[in-house]
Amino acid sequence: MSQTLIILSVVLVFICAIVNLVRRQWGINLIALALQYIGVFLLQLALRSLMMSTIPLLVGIMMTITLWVTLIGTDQLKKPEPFKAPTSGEVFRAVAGLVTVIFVVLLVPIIRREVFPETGSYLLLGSIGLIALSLLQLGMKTEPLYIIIGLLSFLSGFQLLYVALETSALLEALFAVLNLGLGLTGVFFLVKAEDEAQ
Amino acid sequence: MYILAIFGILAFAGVAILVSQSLKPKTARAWLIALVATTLAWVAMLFLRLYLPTNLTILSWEAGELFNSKLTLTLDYHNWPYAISLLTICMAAIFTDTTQTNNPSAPLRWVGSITIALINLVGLLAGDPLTLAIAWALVDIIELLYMINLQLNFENNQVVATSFAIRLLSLFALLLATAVGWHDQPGFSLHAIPSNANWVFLLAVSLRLGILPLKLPFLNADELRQGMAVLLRFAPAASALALLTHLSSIPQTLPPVWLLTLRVVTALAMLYSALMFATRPEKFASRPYWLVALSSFAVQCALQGNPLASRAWGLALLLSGALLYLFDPPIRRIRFLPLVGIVGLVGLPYTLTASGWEGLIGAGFSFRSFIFIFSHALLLIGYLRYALESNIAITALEKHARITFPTGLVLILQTILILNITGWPGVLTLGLWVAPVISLLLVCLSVFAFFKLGLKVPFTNLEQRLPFYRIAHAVLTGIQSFFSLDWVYTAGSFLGKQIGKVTNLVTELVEGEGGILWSLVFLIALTTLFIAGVKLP
Amino acid sequence: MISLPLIWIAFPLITGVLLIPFAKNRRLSVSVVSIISLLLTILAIVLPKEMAFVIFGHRYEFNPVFFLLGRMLSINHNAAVIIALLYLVNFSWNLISTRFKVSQYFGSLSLITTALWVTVLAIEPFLYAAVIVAIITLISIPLLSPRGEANRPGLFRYLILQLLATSLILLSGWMLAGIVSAPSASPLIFRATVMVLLGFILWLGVFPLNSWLSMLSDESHHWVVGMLLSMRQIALIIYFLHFLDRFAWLRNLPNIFKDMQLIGLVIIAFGGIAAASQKSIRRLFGFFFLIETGYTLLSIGLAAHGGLNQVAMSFIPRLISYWLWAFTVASLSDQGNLKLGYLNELSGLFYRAPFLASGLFFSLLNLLGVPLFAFFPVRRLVWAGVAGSQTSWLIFLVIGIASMIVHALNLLRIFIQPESETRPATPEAPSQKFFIGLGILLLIVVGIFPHFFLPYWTGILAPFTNLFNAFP
Repeated sequence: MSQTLIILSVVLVFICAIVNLVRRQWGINLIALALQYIGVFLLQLALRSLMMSTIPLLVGIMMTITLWVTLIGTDQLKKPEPFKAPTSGEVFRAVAGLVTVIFVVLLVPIIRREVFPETGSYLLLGSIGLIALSLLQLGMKTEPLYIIIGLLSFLSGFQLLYVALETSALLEALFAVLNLGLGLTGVFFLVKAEDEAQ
Repeated sequence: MYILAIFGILAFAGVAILVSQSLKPKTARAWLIALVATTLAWVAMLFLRLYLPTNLTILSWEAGELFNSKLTLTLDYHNWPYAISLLTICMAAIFTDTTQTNNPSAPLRWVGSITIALINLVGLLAGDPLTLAIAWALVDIIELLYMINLQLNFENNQVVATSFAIRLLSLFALLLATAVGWHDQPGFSLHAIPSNANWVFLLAVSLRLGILPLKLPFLNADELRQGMAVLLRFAPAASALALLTHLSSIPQTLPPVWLLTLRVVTALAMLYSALMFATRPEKFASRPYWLVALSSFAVQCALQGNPLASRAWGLALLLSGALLYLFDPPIRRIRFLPLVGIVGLVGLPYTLTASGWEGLIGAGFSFRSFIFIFSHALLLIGYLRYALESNIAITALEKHARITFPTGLVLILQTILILNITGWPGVLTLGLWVAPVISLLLVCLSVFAFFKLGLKVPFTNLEQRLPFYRIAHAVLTGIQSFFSLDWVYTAGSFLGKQIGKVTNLVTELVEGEGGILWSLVFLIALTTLFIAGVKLP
Repeated sequence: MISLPLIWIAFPLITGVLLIPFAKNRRLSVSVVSIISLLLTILAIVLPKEMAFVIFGHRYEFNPVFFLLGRMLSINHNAAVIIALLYLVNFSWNLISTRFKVSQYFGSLSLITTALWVTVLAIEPFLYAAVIVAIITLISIPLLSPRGEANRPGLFRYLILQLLATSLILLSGWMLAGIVSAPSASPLIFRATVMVLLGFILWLGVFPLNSWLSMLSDESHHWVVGMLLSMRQIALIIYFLHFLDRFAWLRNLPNIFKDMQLIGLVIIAFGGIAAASQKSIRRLFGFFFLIETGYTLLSIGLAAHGGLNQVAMSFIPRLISYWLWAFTVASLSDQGNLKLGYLNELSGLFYRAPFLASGLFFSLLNLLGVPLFAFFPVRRLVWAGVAGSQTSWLIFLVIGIASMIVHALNLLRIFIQPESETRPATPEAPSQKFFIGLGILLLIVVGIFPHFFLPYWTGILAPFTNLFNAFP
């Protein structure tokens, strides 16, 4: 796989994570989540077979669709307004996200040298960046959908890191179950939120 | 095995009364069962005097090396006098309670008295800290449940809760003492308390006796004037006093400064309590001060390195005290009975407390000795006063009670005399006769002054009769508010509230919207701590 | 040959899943779960060492191993005691769960959860268990916050931190694999230790990362919280012992046991202070859990003084207290006596509902370690251990215990407060009185005869031979 594609994948993952961190438009957030899974898939391809890389992609996309359908079913999905002027909170989160990315970019070489010498730089950058941005999102937002998106992103980032370290069919299956469980938990939260609103 | 027989008799009596009352209630039968059982137990305990020391293992917590502990009972010269006193008070309480036989709950109170005597007897005879701790816990919980059951008013209930908390503190001080002692000698018995744990045991005893903290939980409720209530107050002190007799190495193990501080604090507590005892408006209100004053005498003996001498003061606390407080209603015609009971307190040569002076001023007279003597004189004055303040005619009693009520008091007198002769080897002694003589002289002077001032019991018009009454009253009130340690509690409560506020503030911060970020910060902080490799002391 | 993992994992897991469609019939689902849990407990208790039964002349042998996707699930005789304990918890919580207004899936999901906790302790390589712990967390969500109840922040906090812990443990697992071939001074050891410790700190809600504990116990039904947290504590403590047992480098780290003692003591002191300043009775369970974790860490730290046996013998006294506390608080909540959860709502409880008040109070006294109650025989050994190890550290214990006494005093004052206005007596059903009475009786009986009830549970430690050899 070409280096350019890997770099582009990392950039895609970062953009998606920042969009999820910044914007509060659920339709856009879910699209960003789906794209993020594609970015992670591309990064995984550098290490694993197509089949093994496709499993997390499929699970991720499936969960995104489930969340989308739930939002439609519970009438919580508003029409996306991608070019709506950002609020002050969104600007703050964007700045925080960018600062985090800069920190990650600066720290990754050290982390690689000290802890993960056998892992590729861009893979490490993508995974640690995704973990950091999703943790930031989990700390800054309290709505159930963002918590679930944050957790799914965190898990994606972690899986990306872990595949570079160890591979196991059982572990892969367990991760898939975990992802599915998280997605279903998200659906459960959304349905409950709608019940509550009614 | 005889020890178990005593327990069996008491337990059987309690159950028998409950069963008989539930089948066909009859107060006379219940009283008879209670009386026969306590008399048998008393006689059996007296008989055991011939077999001292006696040891008995009641339960062995042995499962490999896991617990390796035994629950043991020991009867010896340390606790036998207290045990016989406890049974005497129980018996006397049942005798004197006949003034209340109209009350349908009287049989239940007798069951209560027997139960209290029984469980306190376990604590009293405990041969090791484990048995003692379990007995103390049992006593405290039963007392708490009894108090709750009385459904007292708001103020009294707050006192009940505070008293229980102090009891819990004393219990945990005992457990701490055991833990510290185990460090030196695992599985030790009360006869061989490691010297390093002596002061912690003293802390436990002081907390239980009410010397520490000098907050005297005072319950003012009619229900607590009855015989069972006297037992309820006095019996727990007995096991603490018995424990005190084992603390022989306090002067050797405590640093001199600490020792001196403790001696001075205890002496002040003694003086203050004796003063308060003598000056309460009525006898009932003086009870907690009686307990603390004489407990301070006992603790002082341990601090002087002669804990065995504490027995004399402990027995005065129990027997003379029970005689005074069971004398309710105070019948004028038989007030000579509590007056005779003063023989258990006076400390003259060849009386029960004669050997107690050795523990207080055995090392020679000092300034503190005068505090002891003065406190003793105050106790005698107060005792005389409350005994003489009797103002109820014998006709107030029912016919049967005119016999049983004084008999109960005579029983206590009889036990004082028995212990005076057979309590322990060397009980019949000349003692340091100068001290009680000075004390008695002070009492005589006071009596003379009272007559000179034209005061008569009950003291109702002190304000007009006593010179400098207002100044004395103001000084006394000031001393009282200082020694009641309310200011310490206010400060403690303030500190507690501030800690609570800080805790709540931190909780709000950590559980607020930025809580996850806080968690991440803590996570990073912990990682940094680990990486920095902070060394432990 | 029947495989033991099939009996204690697959069978309950499948049964739990099959019961989900029957969730509406709570009585049926809870009865089935109770019976299965009881049978599995009994089987674990009676399982012979040679793992074979002879019935009517037929010999039935059990296979301790089951292979799944190239990895292994292993349950041998040594693990039977811990399995018995987990299913006993499930049984005791399910048996009377229909009394409470909990999720209709309580029976089925609790059985699945128990089976998964057994999996956590049976899976090889055992580090994969971290993912299963995360799955258990997800499964517990519908129980903690069933439909009809609002999404509350504590639940999210719980979810996030548990997942974070999983990742840390998994990462440590990868590092551990590297340590096997690395020299002892390798920085890998240090990093792996940090990861393991942080993972467990998050999993067990150790101070200062304990906020989710009190939030969750405040927000969710106490009967559910009681069960889930009880199982979590048991299984994770055993899982932590697995780490100490497997990795010599971890237990040989300088000061590791001393550090654990200190961390445990700090937690006990903090937990006591926090409990004493609480105004909400519902949050208290979180702090009790925290204090108990502190005592466990302290006991593990005192391994050289017999602390491991104390860890094992603590489970039953702790469970009785948790059960009693959860039962009484859940009863009070469901009966409408705890609208906001403030302690003041319980004023005069001793007069209005003496059994419920006694249940709460005696449960607290037991946790405190008051003599006469079940915890005392074990607690006193721990206290003696601290005195024997680092006498000066007793101050933390003193702070923790004194704070808890202050808390007991507060509770007692409120319970025996005479009512200013006449409130109706809280009705106590005969069955309620029976269960509370039974709980208190158990506390006292175990407290007086600990040598009959507690030593059996030291069998939990049988698998940890390396750890025991390190501290003979």
